[in-house]
Amino acid sequence: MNMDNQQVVQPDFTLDYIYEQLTKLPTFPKVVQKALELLDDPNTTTQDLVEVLKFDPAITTNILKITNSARFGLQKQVTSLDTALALLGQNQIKEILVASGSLPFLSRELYGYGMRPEDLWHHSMATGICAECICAHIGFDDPSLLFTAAILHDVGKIVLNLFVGAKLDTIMDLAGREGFTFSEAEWMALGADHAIIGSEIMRLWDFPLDIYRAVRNHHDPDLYVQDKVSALLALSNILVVMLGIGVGTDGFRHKISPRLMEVLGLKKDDIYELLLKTWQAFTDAHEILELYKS
Amino acid sequence: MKTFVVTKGTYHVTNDEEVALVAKNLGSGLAICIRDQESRVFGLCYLVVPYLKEKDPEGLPSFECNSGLRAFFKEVTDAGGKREALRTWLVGIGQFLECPKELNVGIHLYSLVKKTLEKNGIAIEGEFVGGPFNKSVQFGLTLGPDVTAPGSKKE
Repeated sequence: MNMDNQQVVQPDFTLDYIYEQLTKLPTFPKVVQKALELLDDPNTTTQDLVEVLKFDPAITTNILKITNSARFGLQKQVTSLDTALALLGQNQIKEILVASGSLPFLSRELYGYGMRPEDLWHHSMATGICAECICAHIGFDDPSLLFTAAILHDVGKIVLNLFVGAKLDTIMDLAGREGFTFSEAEWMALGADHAIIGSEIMRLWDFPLDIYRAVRNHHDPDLYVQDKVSALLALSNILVVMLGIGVGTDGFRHKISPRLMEVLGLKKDDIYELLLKTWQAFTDAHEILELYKS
Repeated sequence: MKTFVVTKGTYHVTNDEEVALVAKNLGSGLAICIRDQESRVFGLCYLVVPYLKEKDPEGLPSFECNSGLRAFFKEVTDAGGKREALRTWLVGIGQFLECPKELNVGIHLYSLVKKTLEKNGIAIEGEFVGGPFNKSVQFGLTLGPDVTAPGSKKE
């Protein structure tokens, strides 16, 4: 056989390296996972939660900071964990736990995506806040489930960051000159996009199917119109990109399903109102937004 | 040079030549940069949506187009700006690659602003709108508009 005329294709191990990184990522705090489980049990008392959380000083500090922010509107400054938990509703506690547990993952600079340290944190919090506004607007009955998906929807970017950075020129060429979406360009250059990697991380962290499916679907217009949580997460992310909050190089380089509004039963006026409500709630959350500095 | 950050849904008008007005992360919003070099007046108005059911949301006088533009131009003329000498630039309106009409907030906002400016005889000097970019702008009496965006060639 004449090998001279045959092109030798070098195997590309990028995807293997990416999946290897998933197992190296620190896991989502176990105390937060345990506390979230307890909150789903109607027999759980405030003291049960305190017993689980009190041994993690970082989480306790964050819970107190978030609880005392203007967003939760408490009259008095709270200094103890049990008082904080007693004053808050179940959904509020869940949201504070998720935000607090996510902070170490989401306060990083993502060079590959052109995001400064505050961008991912602000974008994630804004998506969570927007998700809450949409839930209230349409009467969705599980806002804390959607809040969790929203806060962690871009966690895959943490793993892909280095790989995207290394192939940024190729990705930007595909997404710019060739007209592909950023996710399509990620697939073509790396063999995966940040949504599927994020979904895999959340599956490894034992989050429920509804959440990791929504994270997987949030940039896929054919998939996210097939279930409500995915559609709500996709819309929350879209509105936050429209508000320009924590948007990196990939921000607007996506396609939106023509069915998204119909699936959620929303009209143009609803979108304008949701943009206003999200922005107002986001600016009210400034103490939480500053937490990335710590 | 000092900078003054104009946030979403607000505007600022000044005759301080040492100040540059900045609007960051415009998203699908629109910054209207305006100046009258003879009267030494300039301003920036940061609009987000074409209209709202809720009128005049607190602290956000220019979140929506109609009342926002009216209040902004009143402040420009009150500060000495003359309609015939005003030069205007439009910046922003980040666009998704494909977007259904009802969700294309930027394009509705842009059309409404253009129509309003034309109706009032205010000429548009330049536009930096559209494309999949989250733009930011810096603008002064003799400066810019200087437009940047992550992922654009300039950055």
